Amino acid sequence: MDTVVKIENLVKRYKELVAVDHMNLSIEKGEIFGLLGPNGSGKSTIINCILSLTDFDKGEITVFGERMRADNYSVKGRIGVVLQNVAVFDELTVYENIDYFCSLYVKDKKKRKALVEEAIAFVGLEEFVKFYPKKLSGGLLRRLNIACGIAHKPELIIFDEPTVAVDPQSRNKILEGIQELNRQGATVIYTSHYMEEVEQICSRIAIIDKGQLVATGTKEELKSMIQTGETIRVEVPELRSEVLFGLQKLSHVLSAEYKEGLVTIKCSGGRHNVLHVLEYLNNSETSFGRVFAEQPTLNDVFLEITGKELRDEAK
Amino acid sequence: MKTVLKIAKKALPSVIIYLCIFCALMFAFTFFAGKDQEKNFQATELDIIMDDRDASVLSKALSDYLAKENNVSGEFDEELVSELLFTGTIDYVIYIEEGFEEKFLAGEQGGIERQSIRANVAFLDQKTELFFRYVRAELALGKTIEDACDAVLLNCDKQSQTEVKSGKSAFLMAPGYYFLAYLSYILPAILIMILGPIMYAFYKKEVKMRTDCGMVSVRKQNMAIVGGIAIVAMILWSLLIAIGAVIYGGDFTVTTYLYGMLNSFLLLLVSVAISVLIGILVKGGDALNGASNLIGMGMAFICGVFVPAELLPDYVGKIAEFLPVSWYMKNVKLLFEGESVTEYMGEFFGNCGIITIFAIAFFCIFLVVVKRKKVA
Repeated sequence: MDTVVKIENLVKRYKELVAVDHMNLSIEKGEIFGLLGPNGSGKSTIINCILSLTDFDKGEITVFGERMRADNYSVKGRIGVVLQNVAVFDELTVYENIDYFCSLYVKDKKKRKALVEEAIAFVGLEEFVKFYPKKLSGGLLRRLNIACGIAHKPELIIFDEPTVAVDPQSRNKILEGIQELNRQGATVIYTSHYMEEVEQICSRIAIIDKGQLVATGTKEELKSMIQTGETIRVEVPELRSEVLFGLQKLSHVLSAEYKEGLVTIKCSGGRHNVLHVLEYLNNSETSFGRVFAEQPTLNDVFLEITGKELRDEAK
Repeated sequence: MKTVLKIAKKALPSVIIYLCIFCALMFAFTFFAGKDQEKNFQATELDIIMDDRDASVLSKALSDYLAKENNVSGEFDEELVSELLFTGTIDYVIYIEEGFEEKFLAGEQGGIERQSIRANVAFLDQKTELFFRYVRAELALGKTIEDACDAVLLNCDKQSQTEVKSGKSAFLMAPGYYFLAYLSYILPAILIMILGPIMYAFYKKEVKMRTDCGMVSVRKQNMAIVGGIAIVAMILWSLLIAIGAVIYGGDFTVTTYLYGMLNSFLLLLVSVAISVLIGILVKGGDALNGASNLIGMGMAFICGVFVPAELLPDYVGKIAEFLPVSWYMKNVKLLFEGESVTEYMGEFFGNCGIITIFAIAFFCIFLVVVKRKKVA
């Protein structure tokens, strides 16, 4: 597999704050690579370093096998960027905006016209080409932002939290679009603090916290890194303490706690965990209601490794 | 560059409004100011007849006092007075009875009557009252009536000298003067309105990040922006200079016109530097409109464009020296006050140098702000 981006021992400091701490990453061709971490974890700083938008203190970044520098325009031409905040000119129409940003990569007017029209069709803005950004809804504006970043058909596309403050319908469209771009051959780097999105579209994920790489791998690999294999929740109106103690002693059970009529049991990998739990409750004559069984999420991975909730940090 | 011009085009409606106001003001000055004003001023001297039956020191002093700014005649014909007043041949009649001075010194009222049929001579009543008040003030100091009257007349001479000052009053300049003067308001105001949004759009953090990711070098991007700005600035300057040449060409000699062009071109440079700096500092269109009015109007007012600098307090003049428009205005005055080119050449080019330094300074501040933004 060809390596598209290679980050070695990257360190970036803002005065006393270490934003990126000895980071090593390798992103392969054809991947949708997710950078997952809470706000302020260093995701955007890594992206800025990859794009040479900011200097870094130590380390090396190579993109398409070449050392990335601010004046490495041949490499820059192969990269597309969709930033978190919408980056367009309010004074230009939808078409003019896409054309302007495409002109930063493609000089030939005829070729550019075809690319701009293709990008407009890809994001579904055909009816809005003469609209000014201020007349567009939030979702349409995000689509315009994406079109400006992908019009020149880059081989590597970097999406920096493209779904922040986007309605669910537009979010799904954006995620589908990213997957489609990947199917068309683009390598994608996707940063987000929404683990569901990352889990949904990314083929490989790096979890980042406080500028450090916490874990990296496919979602299955990440989940297998932690002890928790399954979380079982059972509605129990009343739970005697000896029953809770008995649950904690069951094989494969890592922990069990009772709170507000709900017993939460974390189990290690096992095929019949739910059956064993329900059997025990039945034998101990404990009445119960609904039962929920969940596979571990990336939040569980983050929680187990860092000791804090990814979800809470993200808010 | 095309994008720069597209953004500039967006400001066109506001620019047209500003230009219309500017032209309207210029036309107004063509009618109300200029060469004929001196004649109009002289024509406001009033014709006064004084029937002085007291022939005292005080009545003579009053006659002298009024004669400084009016035509005072002692030839009184009782039968003709009403007719002369009615036909407008005379404007004002003063009757002074015998014993008027004695009454005045005794602090009594009366002994004097005034007659006119025109409303616009009411200020003469105030003027004579003012004269009597001054004399009373001098008498209160223990002076004799002769000394008191002399002191008032002498004081009156000094005041006149202060009002006239040396050279031409700013109120008596040709319309061409106002054209060049008001250029110092309109040029920065319009340029902030056009160039501000351009700088704001291109240096908005997100847009800057995206353009920096492109294949076009930052140097080339900046060159394109500078090129666009230069085109916009030159079009505006040429347009304004052309308006000046068409409407007020007669007020300039070839030399003063060329010097005026040079002076206004330097003003253009400093205005561009201020505009790009404002564009990168303020956030949003409303703030730019505010800045355009505040800076354009503020500088023009402080630097004596709207109100002659001589009429402003000294401290305002000191503040104005730190503003480029003040040096521009000094040059404009030189062009219209100086007798020959050689007389003011040194001072003129000295002021040009100062304006250029201002332009360089503002541009350097702009570069520092750009760099700081990049670091942030």
